[in-house]
Amino acid sequence: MSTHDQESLEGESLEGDAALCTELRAEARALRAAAPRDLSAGIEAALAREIALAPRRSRAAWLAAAACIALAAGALLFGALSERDTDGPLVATQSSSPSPDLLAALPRTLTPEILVARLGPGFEQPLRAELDSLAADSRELAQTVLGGVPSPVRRLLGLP
Amino acid sequence: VPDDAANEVNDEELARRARAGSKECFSELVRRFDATIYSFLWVRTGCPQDARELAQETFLRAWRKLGHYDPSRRFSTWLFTLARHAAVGHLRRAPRPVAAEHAPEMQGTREASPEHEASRREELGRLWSLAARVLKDEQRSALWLRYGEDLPIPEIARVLGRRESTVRVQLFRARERLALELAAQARPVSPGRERPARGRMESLAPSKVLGGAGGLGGDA
Repeated sequence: MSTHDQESLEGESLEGDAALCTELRAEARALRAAAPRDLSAGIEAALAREIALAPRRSRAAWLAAAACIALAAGALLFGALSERDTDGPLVATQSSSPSPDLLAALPRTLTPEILVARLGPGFEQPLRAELDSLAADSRELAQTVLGGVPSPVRRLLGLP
Repeated sequence: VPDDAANEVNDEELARRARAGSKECFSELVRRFDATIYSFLWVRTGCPQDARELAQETFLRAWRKLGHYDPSRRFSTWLFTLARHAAVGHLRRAPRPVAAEHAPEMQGTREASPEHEASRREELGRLWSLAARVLKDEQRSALWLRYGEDLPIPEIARVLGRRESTVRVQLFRARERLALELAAQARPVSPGRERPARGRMESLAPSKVLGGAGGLGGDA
């Protein structure tokens, strides 16, 4: 775009356009002078409220962070407990489980050791695999729960 | 900062001190710019009440975001940018026609005080009221920043987030549209139809504003 074109676009080189611009400027001055007198008072009052509320907002932010940490700790605890509670009963669902008669003869509460002792060494490996799988599921669940925890809190708790 | 001393300090220095925590310096900036920002927002929204609320919001945002202000830039440009963002957000939250359909509201259909304020501003700024009716948001903003605030084109481009060439075109089109509207208002009417009220604006149209046959259109 040439300099002449730019001047034309700005338009003030034209006599008639200059009259319009002058009038716009004059009206703008009048409008600004007629702005309400109490504007700055209103702004100052809002600013004072803002400044007064700032410490409270800061406290609220800290409380929210503390709540997040507590939630994360709770979720971790839940994950750990879930891992411990999934030992015996679910063994019956594995594909290599023994016959129903044998299972019916088993005591209600089983530890892996009792189970392996009763079923024989052939069952140890699938049993361990099942327990590992359950533990992995629990960890995944805990991570899903912790997904909403802010990253600084996760770092603080040593989570990935 | 004592009042006399504050008057001698430029806007950018005041902003720097406000950023360092001086509430007094920020108050001085509020006093310097309240009418300016209010008028810009009035032109942008066309409503005195909205302009008042958005001016307040703009200064609160400025206070919160002072840390982001770069004192090597003009403070007014930064403030106008915040005001524009506030206006855009406001219109997005409560979309309202601000061109032709908005004219009745500018004449005041709300509560008493804004109505009075609106009619007074309508009286004081007939051209700007016309601009509010016929121009687009951004054309109006560009026009105000150029002729209301005397900002140079690069600063206007920065406030509006546009290229300088775009701003030039917006200004050209805004003036052209205003001139055409003024010409239409001053055009002789057919018998039996009432002629629009004659006033100060008529002295600008059509021959003077359009510069006869050449004028804006011919030079474009």
